[in-house]
Amino acid sequence: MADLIEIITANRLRDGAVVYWKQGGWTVTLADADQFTDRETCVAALTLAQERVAAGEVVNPYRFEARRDNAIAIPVKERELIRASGPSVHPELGKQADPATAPKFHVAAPAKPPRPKQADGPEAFDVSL
Amino acid sequence: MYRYDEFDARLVSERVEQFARQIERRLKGELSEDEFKPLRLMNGLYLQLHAYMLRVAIPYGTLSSRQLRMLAHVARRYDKGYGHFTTRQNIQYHWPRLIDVPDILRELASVQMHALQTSGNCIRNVTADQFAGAVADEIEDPRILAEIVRQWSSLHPEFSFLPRKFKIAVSGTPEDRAAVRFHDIGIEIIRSASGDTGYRIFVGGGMGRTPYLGLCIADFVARDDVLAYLEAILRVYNMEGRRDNIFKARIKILVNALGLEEMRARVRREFEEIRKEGSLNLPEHEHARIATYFAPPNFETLPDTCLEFETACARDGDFAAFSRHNLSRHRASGYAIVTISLKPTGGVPGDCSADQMDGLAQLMDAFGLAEIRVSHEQNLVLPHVRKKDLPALHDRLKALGLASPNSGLASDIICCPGLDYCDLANARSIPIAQELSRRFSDLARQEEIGELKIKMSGCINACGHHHAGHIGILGVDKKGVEFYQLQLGGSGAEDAAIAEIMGPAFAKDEIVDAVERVIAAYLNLRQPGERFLDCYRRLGLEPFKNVAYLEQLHAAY
Ligand code: HEM
Ligand code: SF4
Repeated sequence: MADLIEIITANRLRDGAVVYWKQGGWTVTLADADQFTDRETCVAALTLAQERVAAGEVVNPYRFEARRDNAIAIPVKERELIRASGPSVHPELGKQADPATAPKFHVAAPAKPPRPKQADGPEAFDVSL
Repeated sequence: MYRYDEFDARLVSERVEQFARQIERRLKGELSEDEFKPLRLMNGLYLQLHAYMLRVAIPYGTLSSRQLRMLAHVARRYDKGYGHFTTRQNIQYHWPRLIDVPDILRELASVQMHALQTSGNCIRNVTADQFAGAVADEIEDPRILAEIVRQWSSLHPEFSFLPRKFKIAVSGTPEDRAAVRFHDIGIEIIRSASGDTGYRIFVGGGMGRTPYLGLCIADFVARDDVLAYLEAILRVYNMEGRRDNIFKARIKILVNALGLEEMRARVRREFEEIRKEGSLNLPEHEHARIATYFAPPNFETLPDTCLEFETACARDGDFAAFSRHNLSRHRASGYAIVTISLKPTGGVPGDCSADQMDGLAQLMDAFGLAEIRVSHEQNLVLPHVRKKDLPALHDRLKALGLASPNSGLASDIICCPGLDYCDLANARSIPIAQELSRRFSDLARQEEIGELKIKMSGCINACGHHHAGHIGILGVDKKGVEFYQLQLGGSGAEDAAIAEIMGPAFAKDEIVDAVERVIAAYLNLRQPGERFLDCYRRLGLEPFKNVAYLEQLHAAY
């Protein structure tokens, strides 16, 4: 059964890369991130993470929700799925392109595969006015 | 083409060095993020989902081959080998590192390019018709005024802290390819009954969460008065525009709150004041001086029918298709305007690889083409091509993967980066555009459908012009899941209109089918010669709505 956890993320100042909080530092791989099961610990860690903004380490730390499935964190929102992977339209770019940083899940393809083309052109509809 | 004078060059390089120092201080922790963010934005640098994004201005969409080569170089050396051309005639790089940005800006400055005023509450890159200087019925090259406006407004102290961003577009023909009525100020160059060239000014147009069409505030502004008139509009906006609520800060909200008459009266008062001072009078010789930068090349005297062209059309079906859709009538006999579609089947609209940019730059040099243009429809344009060169040029475009014969057709989709890149997005837009383009990839089918403008944005900000789409698609977020609203009947052309929202949003696996059903309904219902837009205007939303929701209705019973 999947349970809900929280993860802390930010973008690294020097290059903008997506990073995750890991034992007082940052990792670029979601699979290595600290997984918080209680809100209080997470908020306390976020306070520490926020101090790293002034130091010039990261920009805009925040926490987000994920489901934990066999120890793998799968973000709830599409936005975090995409941040953890890279652009869904460019599987060869971003974290997903490198086994060392790739998440252990796939972002679902958004649209159905093309339907087989009909021999007699576009479908006709009865739209009587 | 406009060349920097010494003043421009110094200003740009001073700004680059200043920004380099600011980045250094930020990395050392000497500047706080709150102090740094506005400085970064002033230099066109955003933070997106995966990385920074650098927006580089392409004034009035015009580039030389040397500049295009530099854009390729930046893409290859500092980014991931591609760039994204936008609806505002800019190019965006999606992966630059902050620490590299000073070098990128230095390299760009070496070919007179920069990222100034591509962000922030200032007058943004002024856009113009991509066919400027080439199209037959043009009254005056719109880039002349665009450049005059650029010089007047760049780093103008009064206009650096406007209530909100400010976008200006200029068109030099009655046909509008610059979406002038969707801009804060839209300018149409016109000729008076007595033969004088002047400007019709629209104000208060815009997209975003509250779309408005610009209203005509002045029917005819004389050439030497135009800067005074524009300054008057900006003064009224600067004084009266709302600064308390970012969603109500654009000039469109002010114009609609005051009403057009009151807005016109206030602008008129300011205008009279400015005219009395006399400092903003634009003398004829200054206009003429700027115009020389945009002087057309010396066109050869050529017959309009060209044997090489006709033979290639008869022999090569791909070339004939390309000629049917991607060529526009040139003012000089024996020449054509070529639209290079950045919308290959299943591709990312507006994306162009470094190799393609380099290939295009080589092609420009080989055919003696001084300029290439970026269109607001996210395509490129070669404005002055000899017809007899077209077959060879087409072969080279084909080799570069840039010969899609779909300009103006269903698969020529405008699309913003959406949730694949953008921090503000609610839903992905690119995959939907890709799927649509695959669905309609058959050229015969697209030709049967005829002119169709599909435009798509990943959130309410409307960077993908969905309000102006014959078919507009807007990504929305329902509890973290992507949904898509369908809108019909918009237009960004001279028959400008805001698209009407159809109803509840479609799930991501329904939206492409719904669009396909709407198009099928159009094919059924149209009268001879009717474009999708005309058919919609005759019949309204109902018949299309009925078929769009057809499957859900069936499922519900
Ligand atoms: C990816 C980073 C981008 C960000 C953060 C961004 C941000 C925004 C925002 C906040 C607005 C709404 C402004 C307002 O209503 O006051 C807007 C509007 C707009 N943007 Fe973008 N945008 C981005 C990319 C693009 C791209 C790629 C294009 C071109 C394809 C574009 C072209 C436009 C246009 C044409 C508008 C509508 C102008 C209007 O409001 O009238 N933007 N953008
Ligand atoms: S419309 Fe929204 S999602 Fe698309 S680029 Fe603009 S801000 Fe981003």
